[in-house]
Amino acid sequence: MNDTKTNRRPAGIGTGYLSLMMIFVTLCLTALAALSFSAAENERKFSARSADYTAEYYAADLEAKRTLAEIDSVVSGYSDYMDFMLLAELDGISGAEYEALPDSLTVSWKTPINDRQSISCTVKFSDGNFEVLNWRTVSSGETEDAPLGIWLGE
Amino acid sequence: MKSPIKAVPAGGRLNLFFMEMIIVLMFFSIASAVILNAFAASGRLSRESERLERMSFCAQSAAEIFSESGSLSQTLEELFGSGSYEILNLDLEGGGYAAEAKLPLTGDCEYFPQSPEIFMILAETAEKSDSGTLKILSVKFENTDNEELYRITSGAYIPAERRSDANE
Repeated sequence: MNDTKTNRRPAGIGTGYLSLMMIFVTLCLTALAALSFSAAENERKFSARSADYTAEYYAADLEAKRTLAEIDSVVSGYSDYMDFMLLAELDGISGAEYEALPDSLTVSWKTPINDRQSISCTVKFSDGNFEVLNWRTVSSGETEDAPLGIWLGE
Repeated sequence: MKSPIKAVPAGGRLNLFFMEMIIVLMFFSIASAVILNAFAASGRLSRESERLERMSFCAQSAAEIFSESGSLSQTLEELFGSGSYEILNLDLEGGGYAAEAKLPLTGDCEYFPQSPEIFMILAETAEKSDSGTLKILSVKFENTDNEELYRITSGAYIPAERRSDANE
């Protein structure tokens, strides 16, 4: 019964608890700050990549339109789409492929956007005017379908 | 009235709890300063990326409208509404021309509530030939220090009205 006074523990928070709590709170805040910074950095990289791609796309689009202007300038000088001189001039335009028929001329070309994608354009000339048949973004890589490597039952 | 909590008890020894509290507070204030800096940096990065994204969207809108219309005034009208812009100069030299407009971002491009100091500059040039006109639009964003923040170029090809007659 005499020990009741000597064994009495002090009321309130003991020594060390405060340090433990502080370490825990600091670690939590540090983790949150690191996650937040990492997310913001990723977001910034993504925005920069997206903005760069937009600029690259419109630069390529402009280049494709420049090629269209060049082709149109060549084609408008001829009335016969099978004219040898016209086809020779089209051969001189980099990347242009054509299909000449007596009443129409279809010209296709590709303008690279970056090393992975390009704008594929197809324009059909007939009756002195042209019509854009195709103006779309395609992958610059292999266009052939790669085999999936699935079991065919053999 | 005396406080029941004593930093220096009657025995003269500093209470361990208060010593710990002082050390903890000091360490926590230093750690908080560093952590708050990291949060502030994330906020800054986030605002920067949002600004770049919106500049890109706005430039894209301008480029798309220009690709269809081939006209700077129509692009400005659709982006900012009629009468809210002024074409700064019109240069008719060398068979082409150039027009430029500089304006604060309003209307569809009003994306910068925290950065009203950003200006959008649109410049149009044209390359004329017998077969048609290639119009080029440059969309640029600048701050008040004339520092370029973002730029794209877009084009529109407008064939000359001709040719069914010419080819007949």
